[in-house]
This record gives sequence, C-alpha cells and structure tokens, in this order.
Amino acid sequence: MAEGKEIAVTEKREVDTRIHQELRSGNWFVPAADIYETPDRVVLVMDMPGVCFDCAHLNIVDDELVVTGHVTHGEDEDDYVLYREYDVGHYHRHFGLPPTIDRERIEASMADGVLKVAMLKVEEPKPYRIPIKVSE
Amino acid sequence: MTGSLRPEDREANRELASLQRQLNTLAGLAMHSAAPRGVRVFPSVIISATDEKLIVRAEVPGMALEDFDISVSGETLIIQGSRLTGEGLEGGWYHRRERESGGFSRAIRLPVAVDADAVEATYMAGVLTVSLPPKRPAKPRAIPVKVVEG
Repeated sequence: MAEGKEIAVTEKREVDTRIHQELRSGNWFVPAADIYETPDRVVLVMDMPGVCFDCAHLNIVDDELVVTGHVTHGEDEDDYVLYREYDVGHYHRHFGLPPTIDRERIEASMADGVLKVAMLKVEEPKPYRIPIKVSE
Repeated sequence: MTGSLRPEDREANRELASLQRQLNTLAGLAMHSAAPRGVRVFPSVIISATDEKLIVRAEVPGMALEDFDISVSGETLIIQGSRLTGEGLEGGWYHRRERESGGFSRAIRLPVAVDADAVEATYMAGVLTVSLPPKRPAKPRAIPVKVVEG
C-alpha cells in the first residue's frame, strides 16, 4: 500500500491490576504510545479508540503524567456478538515527567481516538554576560 | 569424545536426546495452538448482529472515513486503507514508537449474504462501524386466482 508495509496485528496490553488496584472493575488496557521530541517540546501520542474527547483525562501526580480514557464507542451491549477478536475497554497509563517539562504548559487534544499531548520544555536560562570594567 | 563414553553414559545420552525431542514436540504443539491468533490480519474485528443487520466493528484510530476503502460483494466484506503515524514529527526524533503504521487489507466472510446497496459505514472516535442488512429473500408473489364461471 502507500508505505508498502502491512500493519501487523498487536494484542492489546492489559493494565496490571495488581499494581493499579483501583482499576479492578472492567477491562483496562495500556494505550500504544509514540513519544517524540523537537527542540522546544516533547509530544506524546496515544491510540485510544472508542474514547471521545471529553472522556479522556490527564493528571499530573507526583511527577507522573497519568492518562485515563473511558471508552464510550465501540460496542453496543444489546448486540449479539457472533465473532470477537478484541475486547473493548478503558485505557490507563503512567509516564514519568522529566524536570525539563514545564508543568504549566502542557496542551492536549483529541481526535479520532488519538490523544496528543504537547509538553513544552522549560526555557533554559540564557547565560548573562557581566561586563568587566577596567578598574583604575 | 563420544567414542570414549562408557556404555552406561551412552545410554544416558540417548535418554537425554529423547527427552529433548519430546520437549521440542511439546513446544511445537504449544506454538501451533497459539498460531491462529498470531496470523490474524489487521484490523481485528468484532462481528455482531441485531434483528435487522450485521455489524462489523474495528478499532483503527487516527484515520478519517475517506481513508477507508470498503466494499461488499455477496458474503464478503473487504476493508482496506492505510494508516500513517509519525507524519507530524515536526523535525523531531522518536523516543518511543509503538503505534503501528502501514497499509491494511482485510476480507471478512460474513455468515449471510448482505444487501450491498444498503451497507453503511460510520467512523467515530477511532472506531469503524459497518452495518450490513442481510439480503431479503425474494418475496413470494401471490397469484390471484380468478374464479372462472362456467
């Protein structure tokens, strides 16, 4: 196709409920994530199919970015399932925030089941040159 | 080396080799039974039914409905497209790359023939939903019987 490469099927990774006991009820999965860095920002992109934009939540807890998404699209409970290859569930993942990230300047947007979080880096203090005068 | 082994050692060697073969066979069996999940084609689907139609769902986030090429013929539904991640890199570099990128093409055999003209597809929050009403059997036509007097 466009890239000549076919997408491989990857199983959804389940959240370890031994660590996250609060997530015991329901299906919870770890969203697949891309992280890239540009000179001024770090961008986190996550696949969270079935989550509408107002059902995703981002919190900073103890230097960790906590991502939670509640699935709202993806399955109709009244339907009679004939064949199933994947389970529908919510999403949860933690990311450690390095000190270079400006906590006040994190922006997130969501479209088509993809959550994008742009985190601006802390502006590095510019070295200030102190002029030295010749003392007489 | 082998030639200098005592007969009892040779016997032990044979037993070990036999055990190794049995283990390999077991491992092969386990791999074989797991294979059907491994050879699946993207996207994974859920096929369900209501009273009126079949519904095929697939999670393919980050696309638009126009990016899908969906066609139906008889009992086969074909979903094709390509999903490219990493386009908006903005000159940056990756730290982690887990989101799959590439093309896909999947043909799904449906349990009944469907009415190709009435197939509808929607794409919401990264979930593709194709609803397929079954082809209605030709209605039996009632032939009026006239009473012929005579």
